[in-house]
Amino acid sequence: MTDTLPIDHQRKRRFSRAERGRALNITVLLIATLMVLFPFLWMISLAFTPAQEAFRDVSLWPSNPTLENFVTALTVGNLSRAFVNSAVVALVAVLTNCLFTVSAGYAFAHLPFRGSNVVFYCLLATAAIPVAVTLIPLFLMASSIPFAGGNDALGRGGSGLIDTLGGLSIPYLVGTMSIFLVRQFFLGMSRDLAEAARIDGASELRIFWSIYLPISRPIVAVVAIFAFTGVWDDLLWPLVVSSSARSQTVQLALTGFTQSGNIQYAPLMAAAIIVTIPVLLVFLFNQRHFISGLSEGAVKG
Amino acid sequence: MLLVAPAALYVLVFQIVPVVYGLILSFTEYTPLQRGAPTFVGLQNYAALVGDADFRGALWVTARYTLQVLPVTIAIALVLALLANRSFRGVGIFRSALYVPHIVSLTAVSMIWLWMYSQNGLINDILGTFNLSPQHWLNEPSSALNGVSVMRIWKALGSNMVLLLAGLQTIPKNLYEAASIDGAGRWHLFRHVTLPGLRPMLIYVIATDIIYLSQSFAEIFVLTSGGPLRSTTTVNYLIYTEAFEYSNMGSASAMAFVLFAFIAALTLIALRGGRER
Amino acid sequence: MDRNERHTVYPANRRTFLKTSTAVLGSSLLVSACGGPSGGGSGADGDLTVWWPGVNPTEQDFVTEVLIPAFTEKTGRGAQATFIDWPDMSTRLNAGFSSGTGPDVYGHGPAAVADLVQYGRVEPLDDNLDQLDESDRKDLQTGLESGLVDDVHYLYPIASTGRQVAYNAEHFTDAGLDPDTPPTTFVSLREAAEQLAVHKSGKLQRAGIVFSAEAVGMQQAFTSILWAHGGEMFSEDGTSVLFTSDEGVEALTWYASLYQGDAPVDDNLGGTWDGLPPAQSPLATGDTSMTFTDPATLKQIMDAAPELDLRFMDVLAFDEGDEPAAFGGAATGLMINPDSQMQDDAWEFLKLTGSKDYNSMYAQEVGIVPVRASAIDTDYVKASPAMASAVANSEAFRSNPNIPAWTKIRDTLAQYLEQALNGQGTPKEALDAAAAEIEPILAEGR
Repeated sequence: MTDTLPIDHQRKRRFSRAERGRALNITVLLIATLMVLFPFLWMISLAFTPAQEAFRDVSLWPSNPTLENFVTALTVGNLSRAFVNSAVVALVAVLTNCLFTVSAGYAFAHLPFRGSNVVFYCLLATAAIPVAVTLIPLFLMASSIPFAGGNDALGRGGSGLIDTLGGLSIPYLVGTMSIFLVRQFFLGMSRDLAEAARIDGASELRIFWSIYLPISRPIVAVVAIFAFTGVWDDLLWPLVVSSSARSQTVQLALTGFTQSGNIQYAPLMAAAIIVTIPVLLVFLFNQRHFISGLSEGAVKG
Repeated sequence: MLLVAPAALYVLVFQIVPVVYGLILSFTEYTPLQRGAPTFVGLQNYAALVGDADFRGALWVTARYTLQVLPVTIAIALVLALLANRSFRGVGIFRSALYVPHIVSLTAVSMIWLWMYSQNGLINDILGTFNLSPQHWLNEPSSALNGVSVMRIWKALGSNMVLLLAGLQTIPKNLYEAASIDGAGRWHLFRHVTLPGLRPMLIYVIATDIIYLSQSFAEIFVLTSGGPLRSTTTVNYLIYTEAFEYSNMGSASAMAFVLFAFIAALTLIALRGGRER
Repeated sequence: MDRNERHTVYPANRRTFLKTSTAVLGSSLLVSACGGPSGGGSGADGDLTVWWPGVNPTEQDFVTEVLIPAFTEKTGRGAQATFIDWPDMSTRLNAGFSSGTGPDVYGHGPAAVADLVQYGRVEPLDDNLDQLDESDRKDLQTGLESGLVDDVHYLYPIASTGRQVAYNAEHFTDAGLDPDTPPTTFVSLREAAEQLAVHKSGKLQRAGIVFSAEAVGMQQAFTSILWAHGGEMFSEDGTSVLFTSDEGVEALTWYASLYQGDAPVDDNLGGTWDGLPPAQSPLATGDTSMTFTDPATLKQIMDAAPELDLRFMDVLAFDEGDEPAAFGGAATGLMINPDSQMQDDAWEFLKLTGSKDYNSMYAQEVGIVPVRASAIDTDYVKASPAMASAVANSEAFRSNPNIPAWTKIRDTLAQYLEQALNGQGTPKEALDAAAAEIEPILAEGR
């Protein structure tokens, strides 16, 4: 792949200057990345340090590197089951978010209807209320979903979706901030395409599906990344909804190593690293869609 | 309409309803431990906040924290996004590495930060090599909030960068081509092509940062527990304590709605400012 | 848009539809497949549900693989444990009780008991305790007293704690002090701390002693000093503040003198090292000669720094003529939900957890202090000087007052203590201001 900055292609005589600029660019990026990664490097170092030596000899390269902490993290506790649970909930959230927030965000940006601004600001407002306040009502709702967990039609009698993966996924299905995000993304895009298609007699749904959705790959990628990360990182909701190992999430499993007054540093770091990997893979997979100048074709068309 | 309906329905049921429930609770005295229904107390919870010096202090800390973390985060994230907005081999590795702080477990990494800030920690070690005396970073009321801010900026960089990176994709390439044919320099390109094109996304980033920063809790809980001398006690920290430590859902809800008004005001000011420019 | 482009668009379209159907199918499946009962709000026939106050993997294994099988063998009933770190327990209980899905048995620290009693969420234990042998009750006495609310027992202790001063014996020798006869009063402790402190260019280079400076730690330290001086926090009926007494002012003056005045001996004001690894605690790094701490933490520090000769002093009195006393008693205990339909089995579970054998095993697995005074002869306690000292001192430990809204009262007091420690106003002013804010809370709780 070549540098896509237009300057390179336009002016060959400035090639060497562009080349130098690129080297500088990568160097700055490299330094920034190393600085940002620094605390994380310490985590990795600790994860390979024998548990009883953690934080005793402080050096970035452990003197007796070991894998024991990773073995502990994976065998003691409930991390592997929690992995599956978190992955299932996260993937469901990714799918529902990509589907519903992208369509809603598009509509708010390009198809304003009567009162759509009011609806939009209401959506947005819910994000500005601390979870501490909505936790209990949401819990009550999860426990009284009709016909679930032994509940009757009025949502009474049983435990509803408490301690189930269904219950776990409730707060993550549609992210209000993602709707806002998609709206902003589409606001930044030209409406000429839609106008042209409308004149051709295309339906609104078709305009969305066949014109705008394909060029919204970068934002769908971001929505997916954020939806996945949001589920993966949350502790408070799983804490109240999960009561057994079968519905435990990764963050809950991690608390096994952080018991107040008895933190197990080295295994915790190993577990935290293992837990980070799937999100990193999701990110790596999705970031391919950030290709500079992607919208070029769309505007020219 | 069809496109909005599923999302709107979901948000109505699972997000607006709990919020309305919370709003109702803010006019009551209620603990989830009690067996009966909440007792209606009118505006009492709100009235109590008016004269509450701790709450006022927490509002001030929240404002300061939000306003000092926000510009720094966005500026650094923007530079990183511009640097990472090229396609060369391995750019994905850089982007992912910069996103790592956002996804790594806060509890785990906070221990590294606590240690870095501690008396024998890394930061004091580095100072020591320059013959500067060690500081108690998180123990001093004057520096604790800044210490927490640094970690928050570090943690928030990645997600802000990703958003700005996505925003950069919406800027049509031919605009750059046209401008550079006209002989525009890099600064000119940035000022007259990149920034205007990035505006909707910048507005989003600023608005969400305000909304989330104003509700800061977790990083404070793990680093300073609101101290010393309440210098890092944010409003949401008070809300958590009130709700889960003291089980006073009524007054916790009232605080939450005052915080909400505060966030709404701050966001509106920011958006207004953005529009005028 | 030309034909070619449209052509490339359609496959993306189909993929999205596929995504849609998978998502819808997936979520509906999830809902139906996982919608089984949670076991909360138990009926009379199911398993006993227990919300256990701890999440440590070895602790979880102990409960599920040792304790519960033993319980089942004894009662013929199964049990389901949910593991919750105790700081998260209140959140969890709030959610559970609000929806009627509370457990049969749950654990918590004594600080929460009075509130739970006030809202009728704890079953009194006295009828059951009356059936225990006299010697058995005596063995558990310090812990049981931690769960007393208005002279009724509610909490069955499973782990103990206490606050004592740990010290570095080598520093004592270096400073010309005898490590075998450490201070016995706070007054002599202050003198020792001054001798131990190392100054360099006007700044404290090594602290004589450090106290943990987070809210809970400050309250526990102040209350310990107050009790050691014969003072009291509140009147017996819990309606009025007594910590503003002369003893209280003297206690806080002593405490603040660690940081303020001519000869400060503690440079850790504002510092919390709860999240810091034991190997980095000031006692382990040699940044202090003494620290006011609890046995479980000292044990971890000793494990992390085995080369140091660290020891516990006995619980201190304030001055000659005072009786030694300190914060302590039950660290955590189990309680029974009055709504449980398995009261007898719930009590059996409590008794089993607190029985000498199982409690010692539990304490050893988790690295905490067992609740029984008789645990002094167990191998685990004998092998750990920190634990042995704590068990031997158990009679000097007292629990915080069990009054409604205690957590709020505690935090309010801590806020004013912190101001006094920082030299903002005199100790007397701080205590009076705290009392003015706390008295209305006391009145409301009655």
